[in-house]
Amino acid sequence: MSGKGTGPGRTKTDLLQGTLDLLVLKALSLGPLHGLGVSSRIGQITRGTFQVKPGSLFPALHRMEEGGALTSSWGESENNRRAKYYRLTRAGRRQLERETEDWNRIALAMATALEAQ
Amino acid sequence: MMVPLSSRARSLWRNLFRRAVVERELDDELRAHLELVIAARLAEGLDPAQARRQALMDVGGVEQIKEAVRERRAGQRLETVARDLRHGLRSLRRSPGYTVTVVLSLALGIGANAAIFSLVEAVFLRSLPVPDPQALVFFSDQDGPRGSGPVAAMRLPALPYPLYQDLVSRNRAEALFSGLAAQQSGHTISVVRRLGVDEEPIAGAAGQAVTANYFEVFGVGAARGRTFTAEDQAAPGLRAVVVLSDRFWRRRFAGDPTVLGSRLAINGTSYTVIGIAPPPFIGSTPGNPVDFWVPLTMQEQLMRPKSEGRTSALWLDQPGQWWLVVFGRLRPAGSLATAEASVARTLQRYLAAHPELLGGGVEPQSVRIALEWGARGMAPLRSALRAPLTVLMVAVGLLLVVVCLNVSHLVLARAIRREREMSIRSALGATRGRLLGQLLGEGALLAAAGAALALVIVPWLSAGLLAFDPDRNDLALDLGRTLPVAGFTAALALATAILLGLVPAWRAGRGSLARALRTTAAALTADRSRRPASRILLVSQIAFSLVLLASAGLLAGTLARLRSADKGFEDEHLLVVRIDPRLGRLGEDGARRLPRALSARLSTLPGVYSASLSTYGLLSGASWTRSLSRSAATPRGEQVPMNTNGVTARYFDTVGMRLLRGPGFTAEGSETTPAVVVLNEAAARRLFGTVNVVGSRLHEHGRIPRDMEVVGVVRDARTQGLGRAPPPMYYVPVGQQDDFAGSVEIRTAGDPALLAPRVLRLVHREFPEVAVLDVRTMGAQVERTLTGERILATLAAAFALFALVLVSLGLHGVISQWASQRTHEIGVRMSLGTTVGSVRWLVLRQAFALVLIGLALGLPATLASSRLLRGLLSGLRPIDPGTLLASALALLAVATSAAYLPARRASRVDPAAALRCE
Repeated sequence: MSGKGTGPGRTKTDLLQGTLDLLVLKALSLGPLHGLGVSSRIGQITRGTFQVKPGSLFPALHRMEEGGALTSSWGESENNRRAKYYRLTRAGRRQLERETEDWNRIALAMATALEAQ
Repeated sequence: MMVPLSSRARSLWRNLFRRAVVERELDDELRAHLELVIAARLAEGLDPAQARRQALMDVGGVEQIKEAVRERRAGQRLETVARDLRHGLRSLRRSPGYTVTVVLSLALGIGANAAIFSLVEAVFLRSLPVPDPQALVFFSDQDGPRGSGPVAAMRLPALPYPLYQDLVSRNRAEALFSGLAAQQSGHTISVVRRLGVDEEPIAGAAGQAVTANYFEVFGVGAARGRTFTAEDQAAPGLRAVVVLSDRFWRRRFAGDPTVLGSRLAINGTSYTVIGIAPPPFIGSTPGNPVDFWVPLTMQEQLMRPKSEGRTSALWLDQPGQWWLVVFGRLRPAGSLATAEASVARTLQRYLAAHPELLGGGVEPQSVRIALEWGARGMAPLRSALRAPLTVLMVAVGLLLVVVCLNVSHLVLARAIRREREMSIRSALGATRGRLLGQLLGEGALLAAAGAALALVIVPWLSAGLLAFDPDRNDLALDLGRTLPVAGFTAALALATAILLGLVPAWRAGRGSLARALRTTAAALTADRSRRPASRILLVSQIAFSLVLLASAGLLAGTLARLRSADKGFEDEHLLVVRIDPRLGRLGEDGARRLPRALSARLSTLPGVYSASLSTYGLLSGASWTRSLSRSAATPRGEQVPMNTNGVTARYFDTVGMRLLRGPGFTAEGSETTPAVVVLNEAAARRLFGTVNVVGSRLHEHGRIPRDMEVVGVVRDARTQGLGRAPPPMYYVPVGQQDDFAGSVEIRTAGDPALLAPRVLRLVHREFPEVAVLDVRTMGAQVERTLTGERILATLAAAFALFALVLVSLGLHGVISQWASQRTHEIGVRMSLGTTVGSVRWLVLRQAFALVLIGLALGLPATLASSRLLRGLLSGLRPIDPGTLLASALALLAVATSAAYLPARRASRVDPAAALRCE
C-alpha cells in the first residue's frame, strides 16, 4: 500500500495523500519521531505550508506502517512522556528515494508545462 | 509498488484476531499524543485548564480519528462483512417464521437441483477412476452413427480378435499407443458358485473376458492378489483365473479375504480367484459395472455360445466374429486423426485379406473404425440418459426459478415492512452502501443456510433417484457429496444470495425517506407504486407452475398410456422365469432337452394353466436379427432384416398372443422336422402385403440358409418395448433355431407373484442343473421397462407439487397483505350493508385475477415446453386440452384455498373497530 490509496477512505484527499506520504517519509528520514513530532517536523520543513491535522496524520501513519514503510515502538519523549515513535524501514527508505525522484520529475514537467508559451 | 506481503498479512492477522490489543494501542497512542500537545501548550505558558482545552481543540475528535484509522486498516472490508453478517443473523433471529420458510424453500430448490446435477455429474462429467484417463481412446462407435460425410460409412462397434492382433502388431512398429487392450463388447450375465461353501449360486453376475493387458492399459493394479499376466492368456481354456471387482467382492462375499485364492464355479467352469480390483474401478462403462474379469482365452467357457455347423464356439480365431471393444492409451505425441488413419490402413488390409466379410455392394473404403476419447469411459449410459436428464435439469431449474420467485416475494414483503427501519437508519447516517451491505449479508446468510441444508439432504435425494432402479442394473452410480456437486451447490447458493440481497436493495433504492416515515399502514396502502413488484413475481410464479404442472401431467399421462396400452399380449397372471440351462454337467443335447422337460413339469403345477419357453423373454431387451425374403419370387425378393425368437408350441397361448391366421405351431419342431415359421402381422404385411400368407414359403439368410413354410400369422405385440410400434418379427420352433431357451412363461390362475416361490423350489429340487437367473411377474417386467418414464413422471409430479405449495404460500401472503391494508375500506363497506359473501368474493377475486393472468402468461410457455419435451422424448403426444384444463383447475383450486383464510378473516372484520383504526 503506497501513496495510491484504495478502499473506503479514498475521497477528496486523493491528491494530497501522495504528498502527505512523501512528507511523512521525508520527515522521518532524519530519525524516529512520534506523531506530534512528525506533524511539527512537516510544519518546519515546509515552512508552515502544510499543517497536518491528527485526523489525517494518524490514518496515514497506520496505513504506512501496515504497508511496511514504517515501524513503530513505544519510547520516552523529550519531557519523559510515553509516546509511540515511528521510524523508516528499509522499504520506506527505498520508497522515499523513488517517490522523491518521481516527484521531481513531475514537478519539473509541470513547471515546464505551465511556463510554456 | 510491491506490498511487503508479510507485513500486510501480520497486520491483517492482528486487526482481525487481536482487535482488543490493536484498539488499546491506538487509544494509548492518541492519549499520549494529547498529553504531548497539552505539554506543548503548557510550555507556551498557558494555565493547565486553558492548555487542556486548547489541546483538545487542536487534536479534534478522538473518536473520529480512531474511525479514520480503522477505515484505513487492513481487513477493514472483511470486518464490515462480518459485521453485516452479524447484523443479518440478529435480524433473522427476530423473524424465525420467515427465516425457516425461506431456508426450507431454498434447501429443497437447491437440493433438488444438486441431486439431479449429481446424476449429471456421475454420468456425463466424471472420468474413469484410472490414472491419466485423458489418454484413453476407445475403438468403438460410442454414440452411434453421426454420418456427416457423403459416404454412408459403415462404422464398426466391435472388432474380431485377428484384427485386434493386426492392430497390436502394427502398433508395435508405429508405437502410436503405449498399449492396446481389448474386452468383450458388453458382458456375460453369469452364474457364480463358490465351490465347497455356497449351495445357492449367485445368479446375474456380470462377467467380461478381457485381454491380459486390460488392467495394465487402464493403469489399474490389483487391490489384493494380482491381475492377469501374459501366461494367463497363453492358450484357449488353459488358465481358468478370475479377478473380482471390489464392489462384487463386498456385495456378494461380504469382503471375505479368504475368497482370494479360492475356487469359483462360473457358468459351469471352475476358476481360481487371483485378485480383487481396487474399489472404484468397475470397468469401462460407467453405470454398468463388471463384477469379474476372465482372460480372453476363457471366452468359450464364459459365454458358452452354441457351435453351429462349421463355426466353432471359440471366437478367438474367427475373422468374422465382431465381438471385441479395443481401447488404448495414445502417446502424448500422437493425435487422434493420425491414429485413426493408421487404424484405417490396418482395417483395409484386413478386409482385403478377408473379402468374404464384406456384404455385396459395400466398398472396403467405406468401412471405418471410429476412435473416440475415452476419459469418461464407454457411452451407453450417456446416450440413454441424455434426453431424460436434459428434461430433468430443465424441470428442476424451473423449480428453482419458482422457489426464487417465491423467496424474492417473501423478501420483498419483508423489505416493505422494514422500510421504516431502513429509512431511520439512513436518516441516522448509514450510507446506501452500508444498508445494501446489510441486506446482502442477510441474503448471504439465508442462501448459505439453504445451501448447507441442501448439501445435507442431497445424498438422500440422490439415493431416492437411484431407488427407481432397485437392482442397480442400469444405474450403478456413486452419487452424493462429490466435489463438483458441492461446487454446483455453492454456485447456486451464491446466485440466490445475490438475488435475495438485490431484491430489497432495489426496493431500498427507490424508497424515499419522507414516505417511509409516515406511520400508518393506511398511508402505506395509499402508495400504489409498491404493489406491482410482488404481484409480478407471483404472476410469473403461477405461470412457471403451470408449465411444471402441465408437463408433469403430460409425462404422467404418457406413463399411464404406456401401462394400459394394448400390448398385444396379456401381462396379467403371467410369471416369467429367466433361466440358463447350460451350466450343468449336461451335454449340449441335455441342455436342449431339459427346458422342454421343465416347461412340461411346470404345466402340471396346481394353479398353472400353461407354460412355454422362448429364447428371448418378453420385454427383456434381448433380441436376435436375421434377414428374410420370399422364396417364391425368383430372383429372390428383397431381404428384410427382422427380429426373431424361438418359441415352443404353447407360447402364443401362454402369453396371450392371438393367432390371426393358420394353426401356428402344432408340435414341438426339431432339426429333423420341416422348418416352419409364424409371422407377426407387421412382418406378413412387410413381406407379402397381406396377412393371408399361410402356406407361403420364406427364405432365411442365416449362417445356414434355409427355406421355411409359414404356418401362422400372429397379432402384433409390443415385445421389444412399450413405447414403439411393434416391429416386424417372426417366430420359429425353439428346437429349430440357434440359441437355447432362456425364458419360461407361466400363465397362472391367481396372483403370479404367489406362485414364484413354488416355481423356484421346484426348479431347485427337480432341475438342479438349471440356473434360475430371476423370477418376475410380467407386471414387474413391464414396470422395469418403464423405469425411465416413471422417474420422469414421478419427479415432474414432485416438482409440480412443490411449486403448487409455493404458489399457495405466495398467494396467501399477497392476499393477506392486500386484505389487511383494506381493513378500513372493508369496514366502511360492511357498515354500508355489504354482505359477508360479497366481502369474501371481493378478496377471492383478487386471487382469481392473479391466477388468471398467470395462466394466460403460462399457456404459451406450456405449449412451447411441451413441444420441447416431444423433441427430446419419444412416445409423447402433444399436450391435450384435458391436461391443460386439469392443471389450470388445480392452480385455481390452490388459489381458492390459499385465499380463503384471508377472505374469511376480512369478512369477520368488526366495522366499528375497522373505522376506529384510522
